[in-house]
Amino acid sequence: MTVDHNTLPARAGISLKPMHFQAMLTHQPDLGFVEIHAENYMVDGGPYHFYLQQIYEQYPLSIHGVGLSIGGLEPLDKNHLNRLKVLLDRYPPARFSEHLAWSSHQGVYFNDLLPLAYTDASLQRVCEHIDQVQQALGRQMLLENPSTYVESQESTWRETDFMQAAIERTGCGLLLDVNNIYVSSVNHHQDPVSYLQALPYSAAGEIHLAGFAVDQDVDGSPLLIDSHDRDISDEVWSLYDQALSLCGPVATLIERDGNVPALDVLCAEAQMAEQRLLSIADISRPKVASYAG
Amino acid sequence: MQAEFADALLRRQANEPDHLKRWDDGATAHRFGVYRNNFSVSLIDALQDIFPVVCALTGVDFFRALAREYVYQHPPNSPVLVFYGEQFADFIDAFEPARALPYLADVARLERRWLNTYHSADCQAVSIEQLSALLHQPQQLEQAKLTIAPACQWLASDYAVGSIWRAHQPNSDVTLQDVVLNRAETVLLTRPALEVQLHTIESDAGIFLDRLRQGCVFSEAIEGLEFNLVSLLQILVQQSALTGLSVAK
Repeated sequence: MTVDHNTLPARAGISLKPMHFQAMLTHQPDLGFVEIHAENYMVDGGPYHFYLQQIYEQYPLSIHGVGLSIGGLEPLDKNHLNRLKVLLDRYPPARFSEHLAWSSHQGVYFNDLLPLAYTDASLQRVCEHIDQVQQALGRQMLLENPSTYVESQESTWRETDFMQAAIERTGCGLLLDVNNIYVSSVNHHQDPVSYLQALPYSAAGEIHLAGFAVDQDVDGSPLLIDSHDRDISDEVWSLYDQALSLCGPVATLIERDGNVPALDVLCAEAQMAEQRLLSIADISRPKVASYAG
Repeated sequence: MQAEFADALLRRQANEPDHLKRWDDGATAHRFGVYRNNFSVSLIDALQDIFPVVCALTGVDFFRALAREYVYQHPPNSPVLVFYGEQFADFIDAFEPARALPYLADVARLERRWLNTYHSADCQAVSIEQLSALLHQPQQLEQAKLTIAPACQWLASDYAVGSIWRAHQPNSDVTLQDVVLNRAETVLLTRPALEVQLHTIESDAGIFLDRLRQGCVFSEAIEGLEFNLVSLLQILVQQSALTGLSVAK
């Protein structure tokens, strides 16, 4: 069976972790796709490429960048963009995505997705960066909505409007991260459903689901941390249902980066997403039979 | 906001930057603290993954305090974190509280090289037949250049780094109590297939490899050295660590 690497199927996938390389090949779980963090595979050779090559032959791939610093003040790091190009040429993915965030400044990489002020100037810069990425890679990218713990007093745009403008101006797509919507909405006392509805959800090419940790702000109110280290919460599942009712069935990733459980546990969580995808596909499919009757 | 934000992240004692906003215009220090914490803790975690034996030797608390100092003095300059910690060994050398463990920096050097070997390029190795053909033509051998695989790395230490490292591997037949810590060792790392292999070699063999990698021809590389050449070549060939034999015309 040959794998279609041109489209990400409207099914559930999981983050590919090195600890699961062998289990993936041995058990070949029934998954829609796998996703990797681009930066982890920016090495010349060895086991990571040995396993990724074989897994690539069996599953559609989504490549997710965490280090381009698209929201950064400075020009994009050309070396990093080149490394991405090399990786995407080696494993042409069905999707490539990055974040509305910055992670590098004056040569320091902070290993985090940091918040930016939403202004006319930052919109211009973000759009130039996205144009540059799409041109260098010769493909559309998806832009992920962020999770944040603070906002900026300098912002003159709402985050959702900013996302929409960036997507309209550059022709990039949306990576709709449902967990991020929930985390940010709780942290900033907004309604997550209104946030979701204000996003350009029809541009969604992929959805992310993940678990969050709960911290406490100084006033005792919950502060949610986008930790990706536990099961998906009921609130995020329910927001996911709302998202599917708006966008229809869209490829959905179970994103896990910390406390990574056994492969079958991740696959079971993917199965829960897949059931929701199937039922929404049922609803949105035109019912030809009813016309005949 | 970004320049101030970056600056405040890099300075542990700094206040949070201006222009941060909380939904009710309340205090933002705790929230900025989440970013501060993500930055240092995620990178300390990364170093702990890269240097597990250093961590086992110092204990987790000491290691994380050491790593925290390193993160603030040498934050990463690239998003490719598998290569982070290039200066960690030099940093340990100069880190006063680590003086009680004089071999610690070399263990860090070995672990950093181990990971480089793990991720280095896959290469087509020279066969035993090719090598023995050359060995049977002494005149050609003199002028031959031997290319070493990028995965092949070595380290000469005044301490028993290889034995210390082995003592910390699962199912090891070496225990740390049995290791004479201040016995010099030269350690060779190879990656014949997917797994990194560690070998102890003679110190002159390490110098020979240094010279080969610098581009010396065989006769220059071996000059003045005393070591078992056959045994080194055997390791190199069996471990797919020789990738080229070229005879200067």
